[in-house]
Amino acid sequence: MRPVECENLRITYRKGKTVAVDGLSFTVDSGDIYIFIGPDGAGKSSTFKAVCGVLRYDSGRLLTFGVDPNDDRAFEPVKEKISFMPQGLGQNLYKRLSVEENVNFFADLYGIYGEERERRKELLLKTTGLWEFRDRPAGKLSGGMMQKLSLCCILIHKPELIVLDEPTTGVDPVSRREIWRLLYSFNREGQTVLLSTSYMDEAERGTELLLMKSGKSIVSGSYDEVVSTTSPVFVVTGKEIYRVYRELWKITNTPRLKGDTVRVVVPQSKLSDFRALQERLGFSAEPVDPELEDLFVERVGLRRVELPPLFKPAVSVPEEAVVVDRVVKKFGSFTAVNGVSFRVKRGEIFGLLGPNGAGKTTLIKTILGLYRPTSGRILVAGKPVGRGVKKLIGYTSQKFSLYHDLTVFENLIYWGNVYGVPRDAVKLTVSQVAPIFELDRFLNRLVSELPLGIKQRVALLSALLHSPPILFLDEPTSGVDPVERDVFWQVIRELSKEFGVTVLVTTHYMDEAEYCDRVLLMNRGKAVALGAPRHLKEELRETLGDAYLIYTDSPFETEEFLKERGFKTALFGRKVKIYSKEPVTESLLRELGVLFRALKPSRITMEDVFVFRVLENV
Amino acid sequence: MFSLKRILSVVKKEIKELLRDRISLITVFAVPLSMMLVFGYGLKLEIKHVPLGVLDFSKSYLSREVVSKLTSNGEYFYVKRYFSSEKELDRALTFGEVRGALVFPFNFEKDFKKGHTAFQLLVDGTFPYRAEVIKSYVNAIVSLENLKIAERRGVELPVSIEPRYWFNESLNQDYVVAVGTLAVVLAIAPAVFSALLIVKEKESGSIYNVYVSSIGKFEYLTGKLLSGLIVSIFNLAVLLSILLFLFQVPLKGSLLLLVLSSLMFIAVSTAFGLLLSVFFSSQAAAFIGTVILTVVPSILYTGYLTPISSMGREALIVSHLIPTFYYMRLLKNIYFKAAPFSYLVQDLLTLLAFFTLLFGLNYLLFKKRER
Repeated sequence: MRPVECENLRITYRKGKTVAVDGLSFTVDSGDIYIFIGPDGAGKSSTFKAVCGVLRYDSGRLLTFGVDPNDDRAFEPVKEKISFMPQGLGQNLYKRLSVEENVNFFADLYGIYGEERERRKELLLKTTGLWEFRDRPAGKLSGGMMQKLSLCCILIHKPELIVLDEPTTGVDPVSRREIWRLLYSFNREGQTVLLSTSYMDEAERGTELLLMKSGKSIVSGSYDEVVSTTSPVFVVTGKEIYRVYRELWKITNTPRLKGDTVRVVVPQSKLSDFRALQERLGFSAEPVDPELEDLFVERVGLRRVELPPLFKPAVSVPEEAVVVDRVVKKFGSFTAVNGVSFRVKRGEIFGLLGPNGAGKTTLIKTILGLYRPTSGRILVAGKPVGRGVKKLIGYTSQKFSLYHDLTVFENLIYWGNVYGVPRDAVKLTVSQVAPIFELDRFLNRLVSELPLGIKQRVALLSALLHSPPILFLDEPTSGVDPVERDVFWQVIRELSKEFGVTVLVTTHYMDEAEYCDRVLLMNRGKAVALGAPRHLKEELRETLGDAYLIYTDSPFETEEFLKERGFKTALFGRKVKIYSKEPVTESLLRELGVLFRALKPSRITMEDVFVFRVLENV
Repeated sequence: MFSLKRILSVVKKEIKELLRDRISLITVFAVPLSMMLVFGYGLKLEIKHVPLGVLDFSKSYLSREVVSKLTSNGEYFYVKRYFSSEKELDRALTFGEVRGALVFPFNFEKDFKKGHTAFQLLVDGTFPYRAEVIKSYVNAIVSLENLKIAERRGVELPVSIEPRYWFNESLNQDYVVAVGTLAVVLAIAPAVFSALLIVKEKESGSIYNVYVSSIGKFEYLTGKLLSGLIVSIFNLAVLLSILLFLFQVPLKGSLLLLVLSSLMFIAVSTAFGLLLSVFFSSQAAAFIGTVILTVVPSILYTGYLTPISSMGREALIVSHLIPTFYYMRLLKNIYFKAAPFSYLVQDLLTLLAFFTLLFGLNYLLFKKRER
């Protein structure tokens, strides 16, 4: 019997006013690692809750192990076979109970006692590396450890299907790889995994994937199958890249400007136009393997944003716009920022990358003068932070500085006034910019009714009203889909490159590093690496070598085998990623005796950089 | 059908969590204690030490005699000030310097000698209860004097009263309030604690463990109920000790019956809180909701401050819908009247019915899903 069969599922909230899931169909087979990918609000959580019988669905056909989860009585016995981990770090844990007590309680819930419980508990805690921490209260674990403990807890009764709602969101890349490794090892023992993520780069780690947006499935299938439906993808480099980028928009609605390269999907029908443009402008275009983001972008289509010059700052700032020098910030005995130094140049897009709890927000708030640093020196626009400097700064906080009970327009007027921009000037700006930001439809709507992406645009605009020369953006793209994210980065790019605005931005999406001129990777309050994304990756490539993906039916054995032979490795679903200075060829693999189906060249990602730099520093 | 082990594991988990959370510990144990102390010490309903003003136009022996009779035992009245004009007195009353005043007319003593005289009592009526009490005190004292005078004049009065107060011999209002406070605290504290028991899991997200696991509704709810009971039994012991040893309110009836009815009531109040916990989805809402739904009825409709008999018809009907009403009656019957079990059975059964109803509703309304 299939773990999940779903046809035309529909889930609504508020008596049908909000549609969360709209006609979704999918099937999870036994042994799958089925991944749902999509931005916040796509309907992933609602679907999962319905599958587990925690949320009543409205219509459609849904069977979990052949039983309708809406049927309370009939479904109760099925609960023995499934487990569910809700979204959020350690959400289902009892923070004041120790690691071991948490596991024991879950065992009690499922009626597992005595020796069986002890045996299973020891196995799980040892596999997850939590055995030494078994007396520690769950609330005192790091984010990654909490997620691992959650996994132990929900696996205590040997469920056949585990449903995980964003288990890796906010977890640092090192812990993320460990969590995936755990999932693979449970999957190997026959457990079916259904999980969701908002990270596009996790797509290829499952056996099946389903890309979701606004309650609907955009595409589903195995990663390679899905991605192969994308039109050819090119990475374009050359002189005057910004001009090339603008011209590319005339051919397709898929170009993304990342650093000094443009990534573009070119449909077959437009290939000749593309070649003609290449001829004319003389850029080089390297064909690359499509990724999920390319597919998403092609299916949904990007939108071009060009800013009017009214955001050009009137005041200019020194060449070193922001100086952070050995800054330490402690809260009691906890060190949130531990001796971080960097300098942001005028007009630069500077990214602070790291998982939740790395200290990014604390650092930004310290730079802004909202926290007093425990030690170290900070200069913004050449001066210590104070009243005079604050007029030069625009800031959007992680939780948005918007009032939910005011309309978009009222919010903008309000924030304009706070920064001393007269009402008429705000009105004028808004009337010019609203169509560009595609906010004109929303101006008179209450902020609370808006989708996340729109809120984020309003928040950005509200920080721009006084045309500040320095912009601080804390997690501006969190939970937003790739199309919205690109709009956002276009604005940032334009502000920085055309108007010379200095931008300091934080994100926990490693792949967003590509949009930044330079990035600082942070982990647990410390700087892990600093530099241009391309250089960081190049540096790692020099130490580790090139990356390859090996497709195999026995990923665990293959990985073990390669590790023993001295390769650096990582597991990606049924694929093994290896890094090697010597070229890896099929004949070499055969020589070594590796069982594999295919070998493909891969690439070094920012996540690789993060993982290896963190492990180096341990 | 159900497993005791699972129920106990829920109880164990709850108690462990509570013991490790300092803030919860304080709210759970210190709040009932301080409520008991604050209400027990602070809520004095008796009117004593009322400041009086005197405006004496007669300047006579008799007027001084009346003033001295009224203030002699020093407990109820004292003379705050003597006035020389009505204007001054007016001011003093207006600004609350005095709460009442005695005005003796010019001919006060002369009229007495002729046979009948009168003086004026002015009372600040802004707080009617106090005004009423002042009036009756003065009345009582003057009547007593009248009797003596009549006797001296040789008039025989046909009927006289010999009052004796039963059940609370010394007519100590504090005793009644202290015992009533126990009822009010036990109506509020267990309900508030249990109102957070489920809702806090909804807020943290750990409720999903319950939703998707095979633990039964009955097991889960019973576990929660028991942990609420354990906490409240501990509180009951503390509160009873305060009543008996600190306030030293003498217990006339059986301690066993007192404990039994208190346990019944705690169960009702815990089940009520749990029901609210099933209903609400945030801790703040559950807390405020419970406080409003327990504090107001327990204080107003149960005979805590005003006797039930003096309530209107509607209020009387409301009273009978509130469990605290029955517990209050049980408490007073056991505490002051040493009423026998047979007399209490009806109220005890009513509490049992309330409990069954509330827990039954819990079971019906708690769904192992989000909606």
